[in-house]
Amino acid sequence: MHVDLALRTLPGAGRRPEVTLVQKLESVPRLLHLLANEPPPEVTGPGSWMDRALELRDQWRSRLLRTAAWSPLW
Amino acid sequence: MLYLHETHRVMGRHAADFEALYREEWMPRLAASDGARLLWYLDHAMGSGPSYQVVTVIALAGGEAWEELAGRVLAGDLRDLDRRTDACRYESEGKMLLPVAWSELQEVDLGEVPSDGREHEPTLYMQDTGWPDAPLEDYVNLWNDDYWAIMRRVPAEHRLLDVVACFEVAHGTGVRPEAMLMQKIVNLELLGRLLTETREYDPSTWPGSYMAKGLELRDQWESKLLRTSRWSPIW
Repeated sequence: MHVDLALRTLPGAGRRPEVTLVQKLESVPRLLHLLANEPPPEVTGPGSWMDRALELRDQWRSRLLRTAAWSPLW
Repeated sequence: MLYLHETHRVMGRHAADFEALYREEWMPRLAASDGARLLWYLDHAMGSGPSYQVVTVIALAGGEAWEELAGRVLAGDLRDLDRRTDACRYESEGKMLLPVAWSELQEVDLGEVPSDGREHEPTLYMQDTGWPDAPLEDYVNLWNDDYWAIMRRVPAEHRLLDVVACFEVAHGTGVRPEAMLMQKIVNLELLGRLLTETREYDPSTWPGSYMAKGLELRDQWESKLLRTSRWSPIW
């Protein structure tokens, strides 16, 4: 995937602290592999980015969104 | 037979410990009784929803088995294990499920459910939970008559999933009206198309006919992509 946009919420305009990544999927087969298989140890094991990220947060939510055929950006 | 369905919000730092508690303690200790077995241990697939969420399903022989399990957890031999499990999660939301009449999963031979942690490849499930604004029975019958009964006749190479079980919530144990499908994904390529392709549904042919009929009964449902662990007794 490619990170197109990284956003954070303005004071008074929603939940804080909160950040949002908008990521365009570049490979559906890789997405399907991600969904159907356990993350490999190099992603989750000691010293990996997911392991280190646990020092900062363990709550997030992913959503798979599909553009409409006429969406100005896609 | 009753099915205890729990959704656990696990602490990320303790995710491995949480899984180990279920694999090494809950599964064999439930199997020490005649009336309870862990069936599924499922992780919410990364990239499709909330972080560190786990779904477990425990089969119970009946109301007495439920009462026995509750006693063991509240004041018996599972009390300490339950406390250690709580220390690995923020919360757990549970409900008791009953299979509907047409569900292929009805009774489980508890003596045949493995509890030794034998390994297998992970399997991806789609768990659909629906909340109809029409009678629950009509909705459950729609799932059979206009969805699964037709999909099961589709050649295997063109079939996205198999409906393994259909449940409704037992009175007094959760949201009603609510029904749930446990569906095993059998074709990942078709799942990829479902997620990425825009499709105009023709209400005169299936699956458009199902989509159109379904809107007469409900417009609220939730799909979760859940992946079995490698040691989940059922996969």
